[in-house]
Amino acid sequence: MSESAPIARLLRGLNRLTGRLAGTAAAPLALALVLALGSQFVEFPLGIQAGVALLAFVWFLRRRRELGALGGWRLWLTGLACALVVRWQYGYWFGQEPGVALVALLVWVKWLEARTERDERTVAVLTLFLLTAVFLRGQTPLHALVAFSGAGLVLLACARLTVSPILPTPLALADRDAGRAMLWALPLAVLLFVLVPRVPGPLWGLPADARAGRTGMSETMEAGSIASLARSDEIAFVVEVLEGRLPTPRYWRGPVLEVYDGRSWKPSSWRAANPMLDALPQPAQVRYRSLQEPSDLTWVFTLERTHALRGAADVERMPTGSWRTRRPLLQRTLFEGEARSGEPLPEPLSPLSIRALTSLPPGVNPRTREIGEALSNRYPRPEDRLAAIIDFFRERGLRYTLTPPPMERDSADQVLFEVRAGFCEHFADAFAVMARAAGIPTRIVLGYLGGERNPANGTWVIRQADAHSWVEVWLARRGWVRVDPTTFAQPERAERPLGEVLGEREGLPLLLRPEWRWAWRLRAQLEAWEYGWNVWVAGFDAERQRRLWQNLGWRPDRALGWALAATGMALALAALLAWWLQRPPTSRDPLERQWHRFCRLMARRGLARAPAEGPLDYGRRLMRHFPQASGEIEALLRPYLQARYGGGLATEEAAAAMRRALRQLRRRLRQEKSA
Amino acid sequence: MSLRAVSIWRNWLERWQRRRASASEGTLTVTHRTLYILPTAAGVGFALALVVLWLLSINYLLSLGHALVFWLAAVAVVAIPSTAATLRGVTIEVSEPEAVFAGEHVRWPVTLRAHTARLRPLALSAPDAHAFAVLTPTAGSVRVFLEQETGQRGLRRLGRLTVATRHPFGWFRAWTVLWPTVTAWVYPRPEPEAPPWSVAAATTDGASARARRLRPGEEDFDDLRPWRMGEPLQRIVWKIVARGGPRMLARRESPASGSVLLRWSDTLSAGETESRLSRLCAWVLAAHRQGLAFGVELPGIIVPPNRGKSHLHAVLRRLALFPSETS
Repeated sequence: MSESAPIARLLRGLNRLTGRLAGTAAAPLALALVLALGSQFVEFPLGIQAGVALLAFVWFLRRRRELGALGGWRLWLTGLACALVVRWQYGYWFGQEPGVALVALLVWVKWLEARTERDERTVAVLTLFLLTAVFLRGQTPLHALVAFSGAGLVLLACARLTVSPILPTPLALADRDAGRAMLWALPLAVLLFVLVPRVPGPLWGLPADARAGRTGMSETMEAGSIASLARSDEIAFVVEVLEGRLPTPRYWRGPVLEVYDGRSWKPSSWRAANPMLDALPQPAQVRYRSLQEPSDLTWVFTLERTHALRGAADVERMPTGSWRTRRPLLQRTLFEGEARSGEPLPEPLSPLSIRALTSLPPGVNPRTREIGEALSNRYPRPEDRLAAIIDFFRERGLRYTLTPPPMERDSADQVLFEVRAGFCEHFADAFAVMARAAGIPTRIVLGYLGGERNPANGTWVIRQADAHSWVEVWLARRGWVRVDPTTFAQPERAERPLGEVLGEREGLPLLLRPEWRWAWRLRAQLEAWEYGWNVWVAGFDAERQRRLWQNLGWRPDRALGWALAATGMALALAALLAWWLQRPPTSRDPLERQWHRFCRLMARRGLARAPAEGPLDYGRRLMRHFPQASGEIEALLRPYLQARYGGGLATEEAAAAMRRALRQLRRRLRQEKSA
Repeated sequence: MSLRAVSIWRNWLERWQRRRASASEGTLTVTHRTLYILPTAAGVGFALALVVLWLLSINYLLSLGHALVFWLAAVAVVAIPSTAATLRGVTIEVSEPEAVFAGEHVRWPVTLRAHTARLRPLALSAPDAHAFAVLTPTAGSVRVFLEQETGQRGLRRLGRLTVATRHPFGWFRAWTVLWPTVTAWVYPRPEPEAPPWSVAAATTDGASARARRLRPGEEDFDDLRPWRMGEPLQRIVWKIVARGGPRMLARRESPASGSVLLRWSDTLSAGETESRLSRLCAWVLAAHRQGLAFGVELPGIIVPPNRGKSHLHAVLRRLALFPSETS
C-alpha cells in the first residue's frame, strides 16, 4: 500500500504530462519501456536509436490524441522496415544484439496496432523480455534496480488491464492489490532463487557477439601492449584468501608465451600432458577464491603454482602450468584455487622443447644476440650464464617508464643500447631474447603483479594497471625459475604498486596517486559491496548453489536434487494454498479483530469463550479468574461494548483503546506468571 | 463420439457443481467448496514468457535474470490465492425481480457483498443476460442488475449464474456458480391493437353496455351523476364546474361502475393459444385501466370479477401459467 502510493503519484504526474492517455494500463507500461530501453539506449547503433525514438514518438502522439489503433499494410511495412534496419545496422540476423534491437523496435509496432487487452498483454511480455535483456549489459545493482522496478511497472499494467468494466474499480485498488502481491512474492522469490536447481548454461551456446570488445590483457605481447593497460584502474580480478597467506611478491600467472617471431610473443599450441605439474611434494598452502572480470581471454589468472582450480567454467591445465578455459570468459566468473609455495621440482625438458625454447628468428636484434652468444661461450654452466645476464641488465642502468619512445624493429636492441628505458614488456622481451641467445630455454609470462588489499573486506583487488610481464628460464637442476627483469631497472616494483614506484605522475589514474587516499578509501568500500553483490547475488550460479547446499550439509546428486526440490516445493505450495483457502475469512472490522485477539489470548490460558457467552458474561468470568488483571480486562471490554452496543464511541478510537489495553493485559499476565 | 464424451463430462461437472452449491436459494456465500480457479489464456501466455526468459537467463548465465524470473513466478503463485481471495467470502444474493411481459427484459437484482472493506472487480454472467447497471449503496456491497431476455411467458428462473473475477493480474480466473431458485413472472405479451371485448362479456351493470363500445384506453365522461356531500373531491369532474355546471362525479370511477367477465371462448378469432392469451392479457390490462371489476373465464377455471393490483397480478399469473399447446 505504502510503496504503491509514490508510484501512483508519479503516474498521475506522467498522465498530466501526456494528456488523457488512452487506456489506464498504458502509463506504467510506457514507463517500464522507457526504463528498459533508456538504460541500454547508448548501446544501440545509431539507426536503431533513431528507429526506437521515432516509433515511440509516433506512439505517444497517437495515444495522446486518442487516435485508434493502426492496422493493415502500413503496419506490416513498418515491421519489415524495422527488420531491414536491424539487418543493415548489424549486418547479420541472428544474435543477441540484433535480437534485442528487433524487439526494441517491434514492441512499439505491436503497441501501435494494439486494440484488445490481449494485444496490450503481448506488449507487456515483450517489455519483460527487454527488461531481462538489461542484464546482458551488466549485472550491477543499478541494472537490477532498473529491471526490477520496470518489471514491477509491467505487473502494475497487468493489474490495470484486468480492471473489469462491469464493476468500475478505482485504479488505486488495482495498484494496491498488485503491489501487495509483489511484496508477498518476495520471500518465495528468495526461496526459489536459492533452492531451484540451476541448470548450468549455456544451452545453445553464446553467440559470437556476446560481450565483444573488452579492454584488458591480450594473449600476445609486443612492445607497448602492457603499458597501455597501466592507465586503466579497471578491476581485472578480486581474490579472497580462504586459507593460508598469500606469498610476497604476488605474481598472478596468465598466458605463457613461448613462440617469438621477432616482434611479438605468442603462446604455443603445445598441449601435451605434463605429469611433473602434479608431482609436487608440498601440501596446499593457500586456498583462495578469485572473481575474474569478463574478458576476451581464455586464460585464468592464478597464483603461481596453483595446482587445483575449480569454477563455473571448465578449466584445463596447460603443460606450462597455466590455466585455460574452453571458452572466453565473457561473464564474470568465480574460481576457487589451491596453491603451494616453495621451489618446484626440477622438471625435465625434452631436447625438442629445449630447441624450440631457445630458438630466435634470424636477423632480429643482432646486438643482443651477439652478447648472449658470447656469454654462452664464456660460461659453460647455465646458472653462470643466467647470473651474467642478470648482471648485465643491472649494470645497464635502465630507466623504468610508462612512456618509452616507440620501438618498431629490434626492440631488444633499442631497449638495451639506444633508449635504455622501457616498461615491463620491453625488459622481459630483451631479457628473453638474450637468454635464448645464450642457450637458456626461456618463456615469457603475462599476468599481474601485486594488487591492493581492500581494507573494507580483506580481499585483494588486482587492476589492469597491475598488468605485468616477466620471464621464466629453465635450468636443468632447478626446473623453471622466475626472473623479473623489471626489478633490475626498478627493484621496488615487485613490492610496491605502480603509482608509488613511477616517478612520473601524468598518465596514471587519479586514484593510483598517493595524495588521493581518501577517494581511494571510498572506492574500496564501494568495491567491497560490489564484490559481495557479485559473489552472492549476481554470481550465484549452479556451482555456488551446489556449494551452498553442501555447506548446509546437503549433497544431492543432480537428478535426485531436482526431484526432491520440485516435489518439496510443490507440496509446500499446495499445503500453503490449502491452508489459506480453508481458513475462515478474517474480519476487516478493526474492533472485531482486537476482540478476537483478546479471545485467542485467553483461550491459550484455558479460558476459551463459550459459543453462547456474550462479551459481558465472558468478561465477568475472566475477572473472577484473574482478579489481579481485572482492571485491564475492564479497560479492554469497555470500549468494545461502548462501540458495539451504543455509547457513541467511534470504531477506530475504540479499537485503538482495545489495542492499548491488550498490550497492558499481556504484560500483566506475564508478570503474574513470573511471580 | 467425442461430442458425446464432452456432453457427458459437462453433465457430470454440472451435477457435481450443483451438489456443492445446493444450499443456495437465492443467496450464496462463496467458500472454498464453491470456488473454482483455473489459469486464463493470459496466464498461460505469461507462464510461457517466463519459461523463455528463464532459458535466456540459463543460456547467458544471468543470475539476476534468474532472480527476476523467479520473482515474477512468485508473483504469479501469490496471484492464485489473491484471485481466490477476491471472490472468497463474497455473498451473492439474487432477489425477486419485478414481473414483466413476454418479450421485455427481466431485470434480476443481484446484490454482491464483500466481507472485506471493499469489493474487488467481479464479473457476472448468466444465460442470455448481461449486467447493465451498478448501484453502490455502501462501500462493501454493490447491486447489479442482470438484464435477461424473455422469450416465453411463464415462471422463469435466472439459470446458471456465474460470478467470476480475474483480479488482480488477470492470469487466473476464479469463479463460482449458483442456480438461484428465485423466480420471475413473465406474463403473456399483450396484443398491441386488441379489438374490444364482446357484448356477451357485459354483466349485471348497465354501464358495461357502454363499455363494449369502448376501445381499451378511451375515456367516457358521459356517465355522470351528481356529487353528494362526503364523496371525495378529487373525483369531481372539474371541467363541468369550470363551465359553470354543477359538481358532477364520473360514475365509471365509482366502485359500482361495473364488471366484466373476459372469456377464453371470446378470443377464438385471435388464432392459436399464445395469441388468444395475448388478447386476454390486453383486455385484462384495459379493464384494469378503466377501473372495471374484471374476471376471467379460462377452460376449467373461472376467476370471479374483482378489482385492484393484486387481483390484476393474480389474473396475469393465471394467464402466464396457462398450459401451452404443446404440453
